[in-house]
Amino acid sequence: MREFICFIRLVQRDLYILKSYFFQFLIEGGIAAGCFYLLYACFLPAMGMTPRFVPAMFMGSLVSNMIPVIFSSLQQVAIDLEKHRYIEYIATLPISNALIILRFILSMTLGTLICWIPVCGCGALLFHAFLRESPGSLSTFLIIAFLLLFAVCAITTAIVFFFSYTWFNSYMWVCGLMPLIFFGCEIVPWRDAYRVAPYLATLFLLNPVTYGIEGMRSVITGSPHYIPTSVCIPVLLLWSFIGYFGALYSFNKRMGR
Amino acid sequence: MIEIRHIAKYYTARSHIVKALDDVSLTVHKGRVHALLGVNGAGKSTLSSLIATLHPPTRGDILYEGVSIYADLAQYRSILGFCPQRPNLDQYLTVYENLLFAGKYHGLSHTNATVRAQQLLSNFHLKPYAHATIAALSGGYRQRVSIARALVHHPQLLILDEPTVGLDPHIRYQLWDIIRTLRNSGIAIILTTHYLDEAEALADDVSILSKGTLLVSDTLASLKQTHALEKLEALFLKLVCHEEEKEAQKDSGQGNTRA
Repeated sequence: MREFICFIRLVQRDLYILKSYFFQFLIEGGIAAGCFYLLYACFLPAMGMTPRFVPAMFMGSLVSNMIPVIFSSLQQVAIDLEKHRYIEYIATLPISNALIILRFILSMTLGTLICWIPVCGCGALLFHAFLRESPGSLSTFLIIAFLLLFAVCAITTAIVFFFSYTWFNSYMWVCGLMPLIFFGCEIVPWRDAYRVAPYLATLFLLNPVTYGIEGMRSVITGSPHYIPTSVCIPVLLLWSFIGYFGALYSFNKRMGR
Repeated sequence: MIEIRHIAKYYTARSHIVKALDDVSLTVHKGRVHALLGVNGAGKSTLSSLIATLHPPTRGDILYEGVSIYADLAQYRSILGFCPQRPNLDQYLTVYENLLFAGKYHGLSHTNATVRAQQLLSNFHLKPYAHATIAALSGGYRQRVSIARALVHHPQLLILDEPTVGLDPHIRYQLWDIIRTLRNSGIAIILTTHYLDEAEALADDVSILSKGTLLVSDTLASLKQTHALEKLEALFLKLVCHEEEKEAQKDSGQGNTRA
């Protein structure tokens, strides 16, 4: 019980800090959604792109837009490990390592979701005309979004605790996050990618981001053209577990326990 | 109260095993300041971080009230206050918020945590800085906040790892007064320091470490009496220099054997 209270209070602390940035997120989200609308719903269709790609590209950009937010959170963890060592204080609190790492991942996921809400909200209004095909349920969309962010946060947290600060600064973006974005069906739906480059598209299936983006595309359009949510949700759950236990292993190794 | 039994901590560095601590045993009592002394690399900070449960020992056990702390770490951590050498405060919160949240992490209600935070701000003369960010504080004030945070949940054991390193003399003396007050309130204090005057002024019990092994552990008065020395500094130099001479003789002996 004591451990659980400590866990809740640590998450509360993270949300308390995030709260002070919400207005900033709102403005940034509105600007991002406006930019996406101009590019994907105005310029590219005017240049001859089929409107079928508009919601697909919006979803892809929505996810890739969140990767820098996750990177920024990871940077805070990396700097803390190297410099402030607040983590050592947390490690002396009445809470187990399993809950400490869950708190890291959960707070990062919730933080990114909070950043996401304004982009999604403004985007839903702007892209309204393209999302009418068969509107999916909001709850399924949120479940997929949560699982996607949780899986990505868990995997990247494992990387941050496993490697040194120097490695993080030099390679995290290039070796950790860019492959997640670019090999994750960000722009092109998976079936279209498979038609053009089957080997590369098969490689995309190893990336949890593929299932997140395709699942959200499937929900907002209701089209069978995308990987169905019945496949995406279990795969994202599996990646979340793998990421969580990987992060726990790295954390224990880092803290020498 | 705290019994350290045959603790060892080994690290692997570049495929070599480094013995940071080897077979260290000592006891820390309630209402007493136990100073851990030693030159740099003696194992003082390793020992205090093991007692603070930051790392597990390679071998040995730590008992609190006769029970291994590893049987219920959360329970042990709830009676523990740890103040590391470099204050690891929450950079995103103000001084007041640091104390408030620390209380909440230990299970205090919002009201109780607020009262306790206000009390500590007052006790540690931090009220004018209550709403300052950590980055805006000087080293001495950060150290004060760090100690105040460690005390927010009324711990039974307080570990202070080099609390006065790099502080101005008057701030050092203020911290000494705080440590004395805490000792008098019944808290067991483990004080890691390499300032011998500090240990002389504050410690009731002294343990001297050298290269990861315990040279002596006893009350300060008893150590002085046994070695017929008046000053802790003289005692420290005698023991540590003797140990270094022994090491040098051992090394030269090995060299002669090889030759």
